[in-house]
Amino acid sequence: MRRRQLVGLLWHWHRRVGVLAAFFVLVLVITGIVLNHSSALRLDRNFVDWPWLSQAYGDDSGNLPAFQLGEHWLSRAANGRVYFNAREVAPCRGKLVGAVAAGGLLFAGCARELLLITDSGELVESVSASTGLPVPLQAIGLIDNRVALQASGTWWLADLDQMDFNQRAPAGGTVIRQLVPDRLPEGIRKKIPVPNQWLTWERLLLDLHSGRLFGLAGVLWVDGIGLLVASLATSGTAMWWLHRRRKRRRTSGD
Amino acid sequence: MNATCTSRRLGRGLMVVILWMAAFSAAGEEYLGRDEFLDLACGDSQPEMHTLWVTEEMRTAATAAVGWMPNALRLRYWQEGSCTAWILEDIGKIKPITLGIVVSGNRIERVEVLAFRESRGWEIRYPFFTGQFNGLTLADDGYLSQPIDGITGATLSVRAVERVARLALWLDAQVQS
Repeated sequence: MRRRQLVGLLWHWHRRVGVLAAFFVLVLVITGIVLNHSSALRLDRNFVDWPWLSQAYGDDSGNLPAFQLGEHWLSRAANGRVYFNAREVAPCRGKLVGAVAAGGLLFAGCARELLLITDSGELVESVSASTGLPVPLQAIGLIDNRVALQASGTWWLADLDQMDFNQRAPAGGTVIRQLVPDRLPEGIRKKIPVPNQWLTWERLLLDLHSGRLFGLAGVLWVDGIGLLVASLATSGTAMWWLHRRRKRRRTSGD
Repeated sequence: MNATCTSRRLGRGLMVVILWMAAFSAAGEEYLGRDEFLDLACGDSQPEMHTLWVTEEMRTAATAAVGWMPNALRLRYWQEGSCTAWILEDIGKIKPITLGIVVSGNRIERVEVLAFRESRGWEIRYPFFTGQFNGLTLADDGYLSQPIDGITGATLSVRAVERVARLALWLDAQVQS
């Protein structure tokens, strides 16, 4: 490719990439500078008082879906912990997707963890992907009084004695009993501690800076902006070098 | 070849890089599965799974000896002869770290990070760190027989691995006796 064509190509892309990245670079610069002084600005001690934003973070403290198992209720509070009635049992990773009772135990299925709980609310065991659980869990139910878990659209029978989750549930005509989530009774809900304010301005700015505010897509977008800035630095340097070389040649030609 | 054609190729190249990054990020936080860990655990033989029921006395004794015990009534472990493998979790800063510890003859034989969920401190999964635990035993004071070199910026994760290693040694002693 001739030098002139190359410079033209670089200009073509440098301008477009510059315009595309400009807004996001400004956001990154501003949030980065402010975060550098977050302690002095007391951002780590001041809280964001926007309920809609807390809800976007998964804080459903005002609306706890719960499952009724006999006389007891299982729910997962905004602090990420599963409650047996108003008694805290254990942290549970991911949204509570269902609950069942079988073999004298209660099973609370969260997206990334399965809790086995006694009928008095004690944690028997926590099972996660590291101990063989298929994740993310989509649902939990009972097939002939055996615990069945749904993951990747398939129902698996759970053998919790052997920690084996590799047996597919029989296909066709199988009855899977599942509980429908209900609203936690007011008397129990009032006893579950409402989480203190936790969303600080520092956290919000950090999540905005890293893109985490918008989940994985946001993180990837910020990665992409980083690449665009790197490409701007490269194309800018290349154009400067080509321009300098041309100038020198002209000078030496004179 | 004209500039527009080259521009298109560059654009496609950029898209490929972004998609590759997406795939890399989606690989997630779990480094090693249960079965892979157990394959590494006790030599060529596959260890058998056992259940340890945690009594109140045991919880009190563990807390006195190594400072903590998971909040569960039963723990799973895998055993082959004098070799035991434990999959345990402890909180680093905010989120749990899942660790696999292999103990043989009262000594740590292997430490593996199965899942790490914190945003910082993931360096603990590398052999330069986990290798320090190999051969360590539980001292009389409930600490490891030799100090572990920390990692800058991963202090809490390092402490979590130490706590889990101490507990695994203590639990191994219980099941061996």
